[in-house]
Amino acid sequence: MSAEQNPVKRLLGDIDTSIKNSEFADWYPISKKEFRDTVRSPWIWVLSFIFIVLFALPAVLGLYFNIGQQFAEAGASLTTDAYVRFALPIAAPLLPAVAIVIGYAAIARESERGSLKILLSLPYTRGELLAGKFVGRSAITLIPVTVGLLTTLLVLLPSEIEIAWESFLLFALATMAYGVVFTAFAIGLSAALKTARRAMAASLGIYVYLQVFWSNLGAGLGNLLSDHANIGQVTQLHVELFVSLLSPIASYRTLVQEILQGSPIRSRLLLTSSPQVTCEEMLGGTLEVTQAGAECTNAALPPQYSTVAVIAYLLLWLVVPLVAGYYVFENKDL
Amino acid sequence: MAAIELDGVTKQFGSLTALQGVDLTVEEGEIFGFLGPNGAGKSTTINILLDFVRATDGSATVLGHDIHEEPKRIRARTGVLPEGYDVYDRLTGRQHLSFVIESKDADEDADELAERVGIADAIDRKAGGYSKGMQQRLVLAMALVGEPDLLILDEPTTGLDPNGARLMREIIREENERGATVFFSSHILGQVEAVCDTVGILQDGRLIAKDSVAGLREAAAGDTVLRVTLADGDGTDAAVAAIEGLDEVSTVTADGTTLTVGCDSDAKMAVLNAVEESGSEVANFETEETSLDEVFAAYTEQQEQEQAEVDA
Repeated sequence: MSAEQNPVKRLLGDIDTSIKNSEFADWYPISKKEFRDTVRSPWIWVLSFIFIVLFALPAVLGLYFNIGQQFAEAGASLTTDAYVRFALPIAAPLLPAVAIVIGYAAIARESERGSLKILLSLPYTRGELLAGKFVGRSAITLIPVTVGLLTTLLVLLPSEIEIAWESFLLFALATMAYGVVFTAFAIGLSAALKTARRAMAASLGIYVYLQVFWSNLGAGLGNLLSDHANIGQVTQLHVELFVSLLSPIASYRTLVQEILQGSPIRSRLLLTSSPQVTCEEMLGGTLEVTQAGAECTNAALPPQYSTVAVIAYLLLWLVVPLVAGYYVFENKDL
Repeated sequence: MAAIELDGVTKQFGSLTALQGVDLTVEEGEIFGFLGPNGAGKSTTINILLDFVRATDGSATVLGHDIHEEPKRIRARTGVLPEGYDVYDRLTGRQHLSFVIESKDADEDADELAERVGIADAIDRKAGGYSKGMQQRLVLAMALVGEPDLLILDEPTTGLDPNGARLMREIIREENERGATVFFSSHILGQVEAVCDTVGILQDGRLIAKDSVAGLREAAAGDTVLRVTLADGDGTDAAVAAIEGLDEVSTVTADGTTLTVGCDSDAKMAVLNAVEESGSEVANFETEETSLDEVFAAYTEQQEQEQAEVDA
């Protein structure tokens, strides 16, 4: 009855029915069950709460204490870009941790406890099961991200801080994608490994490695090759930049930097140990230091460092774990 | 068409052989009891039928579909009560049932299903708070969704009280009358004897017998069990020795002053005479049909003897 009177409910009901009837969405009931089940886990709420507070806190601080003022470009008015600059170093390390906690148990825990037998007694292939888990748990990851972003907007709307809609929405999109990537990463490991404990150890271990050591890996590898293989400085910088971009954390950061800087070249320069050599010898441009920071003019970015390429590197962390997890899971005795 | 057909199914877990070339046919419309001690390979067989586990060798079809090629089509028409399952603690009974109804594209009422298995008043409570027996009832109700053509129940009475076990048997009969084939495993013989048309006995990964309940009784250990109670326990050993000497006797076991004798139906007097001659006094005696327990024991023993001969 109420479903007919309430337009929102009716719309949701219609969407529900049309997905259900789609022939490519056999996994849909699993994703709904997954969402309902996971959303009731207290741990996820605690973690989401911490994330939301930390994520939206810069906005509150910026509003009440004008801390963001120093980040505003001289002469320009204060915009949400200052908030994004604050939120980026919080979201980049914290969101993967939230997504991993949401994803790691997805399949391994059910396999350990035996509820997987109930799921796979129903007419689902293992691939559909994995797809349903991925969609349902990704939706869970999007909750803290969405709530955090909305809180920020609500706090900032009545303030003097101007909302730069384009960059804010692109930042929102990139951050959602980032959360989904790490959810998929953890679910892939959950499908491949035997126990939830192992899935958590492996995904957190890889995450910590990416967070703490990967940034040095590119530079280290470049140095190593330069010392022992006699590669030139430009090649060394290529190795450094390319290896750095393969980390999902670095690729997310550079994409957000790109939104803020308005230039892919400037944001890639931030990843190298020598912006000047990178700009002038690798990219064939001229480095000018302005008030807004270093600017590399007349440069051409090779395709492997383009925006599309970096988005592809980020998405590799979604596709590879899911596909690898699927192959192991498909051929495994439960 | 057979509901279940296994053809030389073998499963090895590393160096451990769980199933060795099992051939088995379950006809459509029958209630098939799959018997065997724990660890015999019953669950492995069921896990292979459901494609949870892949056979090392051999092939199988369920409802005419190959288990590897079309597991989804099999599951669409099969209701399963798996062994060692767990429910979703945070979801209510109703959410469990709705999920299965939606998954199977069925058009059933969760309340009616809950009513049928006797958990109607708990349907809106979280399943994590259910007792083991209630969880078992819930999963049974989930297996019944969509009027499946085949019900596969792995140790369905585990965790159920006598009322629950009776309900389980009633539902098995009702589903069978509706036209469903029922395949259920158990290590409790009474459960199987009470409802099954056909019984298969699995031991050490081999199917050692398959027959009707009556046929099995006939095949094993003569046809009569004689229970003889002696007046005192002093002469038990002598009495056992005397009875064992008779040609008509197949098994003798002693428990205190009670002797259980499997023998031909016309050997009663011979047994009683042998007891008297050994010096004991018969206080009481009764005859009974062979229970499946004894059939089972006889088959198991026979198997062990053969094994011992092979080893020797």
